Amino acid sequence: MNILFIEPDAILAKSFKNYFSKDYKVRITPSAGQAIDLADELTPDVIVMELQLKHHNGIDFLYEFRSYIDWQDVPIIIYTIVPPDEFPSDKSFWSKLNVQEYLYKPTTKLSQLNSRINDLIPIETT
Amino acid sequence: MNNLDVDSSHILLKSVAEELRLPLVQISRLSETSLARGGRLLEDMKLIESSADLALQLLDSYILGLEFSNKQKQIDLSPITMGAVLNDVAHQIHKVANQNNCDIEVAIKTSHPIMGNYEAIKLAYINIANSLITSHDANDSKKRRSITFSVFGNGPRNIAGVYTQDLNISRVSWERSLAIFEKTRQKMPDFTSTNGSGFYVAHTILEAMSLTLVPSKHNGLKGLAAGFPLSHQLQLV
Repeated sequence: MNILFIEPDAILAKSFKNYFSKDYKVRITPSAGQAIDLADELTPDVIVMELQLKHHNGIDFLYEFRSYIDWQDVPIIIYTIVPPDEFPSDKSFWSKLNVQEYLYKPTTKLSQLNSRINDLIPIETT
Repeated sequence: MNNLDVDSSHILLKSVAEELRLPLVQISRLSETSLARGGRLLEDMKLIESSADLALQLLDSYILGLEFSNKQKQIDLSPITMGAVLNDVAHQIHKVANQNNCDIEVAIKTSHPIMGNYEAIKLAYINIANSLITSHDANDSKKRRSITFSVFGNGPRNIAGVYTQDLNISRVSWERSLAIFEKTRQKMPDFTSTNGSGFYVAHTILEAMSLTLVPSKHNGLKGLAAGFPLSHQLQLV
């Protein structure tokens, strides 16, 4: 299973790699600009992304990413330092962008993120 | 922004509090990773120490900047050299730099003394350096960077700056970032993914001492620098 993390912070990126690489193939990019190229290369099963990125706004990235036909259905989890109350409470805002989960970093442990990732990964049939 | 008004103080406080979330999240996640996966305890403890140091330095600098701006604390001046300040800053940040694969260089071209507040200037430059180091891209961890501290004489001033690679900063982007600081969550998206409070706190401390932080270049690197007027009296000593 491939997970693509979009995470600009070097220490958190290291932490994600150490935590998740035992169970998944993990690729990490700090920027939205590289994420689309990496998605083509990696074909991720899930994308986990920070919204607060250098150069790009994460929401702009989401609109752009979802505009590609190949990437309209890949599950996306937002794992961010931005408090959820800064966005409309109406869930349709996120469902329009086909975002499966909005997880607030300060209160969501990696174990909880892992559970959400597991919930979203398609079950392999033999 | 001398004499921070109440609204500006609250906005800066909120911004610093938001910025402090990141090192605390880093500490929490590193601890969790270490406990869950094991085997990397020493490496993780070093990162935890560096995250905690960053948070503490930002907090101290914010308080000092606020006290100076609101004149709650007098800015005591004494003869100092910027070379000594920058060497001290380089020593203070070496752990953070090391954790971020960043080498430190110090280029001291002048030892003319200036009148200044050693601790305040040191804190301002620690914040600039920390902010530049942590602005480097996460997945370039294998690529070594450098952070250069430089001081040189330029007419009646010493120019002291901090510089690094791949910094997309210009006078226009810097001034725009300062102008929008109170109005937006991500104040400096051109050069950092954080909200840039470290840069802003350094700007506040230096501005309280009538010094201006501006984008600057040094040996092909970009960074931020301030001009420190030479003291005519000290030159006579």
